[in-house]
Amino acid sequence: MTRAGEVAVEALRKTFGRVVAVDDVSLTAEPAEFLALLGPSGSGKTTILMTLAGFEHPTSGRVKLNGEDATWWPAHRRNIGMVFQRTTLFPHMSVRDNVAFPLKMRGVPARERGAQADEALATVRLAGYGDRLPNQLSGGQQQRVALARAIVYRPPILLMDEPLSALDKALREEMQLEIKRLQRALGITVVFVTHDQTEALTMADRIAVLDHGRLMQVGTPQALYESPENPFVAGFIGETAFLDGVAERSADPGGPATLRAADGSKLHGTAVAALATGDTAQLAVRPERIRRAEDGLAAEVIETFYVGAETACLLRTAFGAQLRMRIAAGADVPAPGETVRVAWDPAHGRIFRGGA
Amino acid sequence: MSRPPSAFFRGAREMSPALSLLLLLPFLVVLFIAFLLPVGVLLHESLFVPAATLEHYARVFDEPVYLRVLWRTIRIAALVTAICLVLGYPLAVAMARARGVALLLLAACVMLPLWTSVLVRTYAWTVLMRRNGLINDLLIGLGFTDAPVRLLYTEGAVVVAMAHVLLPFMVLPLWTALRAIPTDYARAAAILGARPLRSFVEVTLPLSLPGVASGSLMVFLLALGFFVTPALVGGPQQMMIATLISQQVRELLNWPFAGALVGCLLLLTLVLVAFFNRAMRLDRFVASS
Repeated sequence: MTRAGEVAVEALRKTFGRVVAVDDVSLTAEPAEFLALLGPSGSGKTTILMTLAGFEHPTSGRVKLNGEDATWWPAHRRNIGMVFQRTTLFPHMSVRDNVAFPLKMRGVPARERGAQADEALATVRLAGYGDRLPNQLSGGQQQRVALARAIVYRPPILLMDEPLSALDKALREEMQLEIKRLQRALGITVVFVTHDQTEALTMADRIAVLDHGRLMQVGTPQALYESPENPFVAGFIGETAFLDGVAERSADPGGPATLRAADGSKLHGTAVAALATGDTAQLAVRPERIRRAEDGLAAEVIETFYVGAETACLLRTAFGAQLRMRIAAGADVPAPGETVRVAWDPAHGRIFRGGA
Repeated sequence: MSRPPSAFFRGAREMSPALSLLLLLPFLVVLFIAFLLPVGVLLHESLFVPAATLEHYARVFDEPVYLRVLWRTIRIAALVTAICLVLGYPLAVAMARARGVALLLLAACVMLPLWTSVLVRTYAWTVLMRRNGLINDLLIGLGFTDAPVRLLYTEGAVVVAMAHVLLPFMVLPLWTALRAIPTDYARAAAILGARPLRSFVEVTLPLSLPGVASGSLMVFLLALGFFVTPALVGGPQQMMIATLISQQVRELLNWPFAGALVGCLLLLTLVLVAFFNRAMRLDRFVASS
């Protein structure tokens, strides 16, 4: 069965010598979905993208494009668009010839090519730049031309390999919105590799988080942020404090659980996986979920940082864990050395089995 | 009170013109004494001995034998350049793609001849091509011919031996140009739908043209003035201009006429360099990317 725009890898494994770059990853991007592959360097995200493009072939497992097995297709047969990290505009061709290049490869007559290239340039807001050479454009303009070149032949799938990482912050944010707008307008499936979590959260419909070649979690930005399924995802996306303890009694997945910290303090949260009494576990909680409470956990204020809209408080509990708390502008800010009591809604304290 | 660090330590970009000149001085002195002065004297003799005259130059063009030598020199140099390009380009492509030990081996194969004396390499060719040499033995042994074929002292021998000697000068600029082309370009061309051959023709080849130009210019200019190889494997019938000049100076002691020949060679060289410099404007794409 063919499904235009569907991208899938099944049990993908790729090794380079003794290094396992991708370890049994199965993942599907639905038609017209924006899927981000997020992970630190060496997580395998780029290898997955290169395998989708056909520049690498899997050690085992399959690649499916539009529902067809494309594992061993050469890159030039795949009919997918791609924007690279570094500019890959051909320096000896004008901007228009660059954008028209994929059309030329597809046998489109010269006259039509020029018109279609100009149209694609207009969609990335570079109408009138066709006669320039790539090195006469700024970095952001070059990546927009690369984008026009990748979509001019209307591929159902677009791969992007950290295309904005070389741009400065303001331009990057502008381009994020522009790419998102284009993706919606064209109804194109995008697989976007990034190590920038903010970029992934802003742009993606779903995010696949990878670490050491393994898929850690796939989900919507909200799901990943609010309900991480493992400590890696909890720690990698956003800011998180980890508090160690042992389970007071058994708990079901998704059910309430309580940990006892080294000094006997009780930590309330929600069990992510089943817990047995006495299991070592860690509780992950985000700074914005921590508030002051009379009957809460005692913690000493180590330092406070004024950052305008809020003040960040670095706290240390009696059992040695550090956590941050955010205090909204206008509220009382405790002084360093003071002891405060803090708590959080048990729904926002995610308890993972294992840990130190 | 602190002083700014001396210009020398601030890097070449901020060097004063005077300091630049000072650093260049040893080279300029050698250039003047070893090159400009003798060439200048020769050219002066060609124009002003015995009196201000163009007769020596007129003689180069009046007597068919000299024009024939000049024409043969240009023809052999062009042929050698073409052969070097045809042999060298695939080799340079292989070197640009090779990594590690393979690259080391290839580079050694290219460089090793360069580190061996031209004289040794040329004599090796005479050993191969003489009447009872390896090539003739092989031809007779395989039954292609009954009697030894005359190989040595032919224009073919000169071209083959010169192409061998000059090949590294073609391969190295080509390799440098090809290596500078990011591999991402080939990947981009592939994902945009270009088959490997198409990607080569549309992207790699045009971007390697500056290397083709500088390699060809280098080989052609070296071939124009080549002396040892044509003198040893070519006979009197294959005389090139360098041999002719040497003959005028050493045997006939006709310095003014040798100077006129040098002048013609120099003029030809300058015209070619100017022409290639214009053609090489191609590299403005590569320079800034």
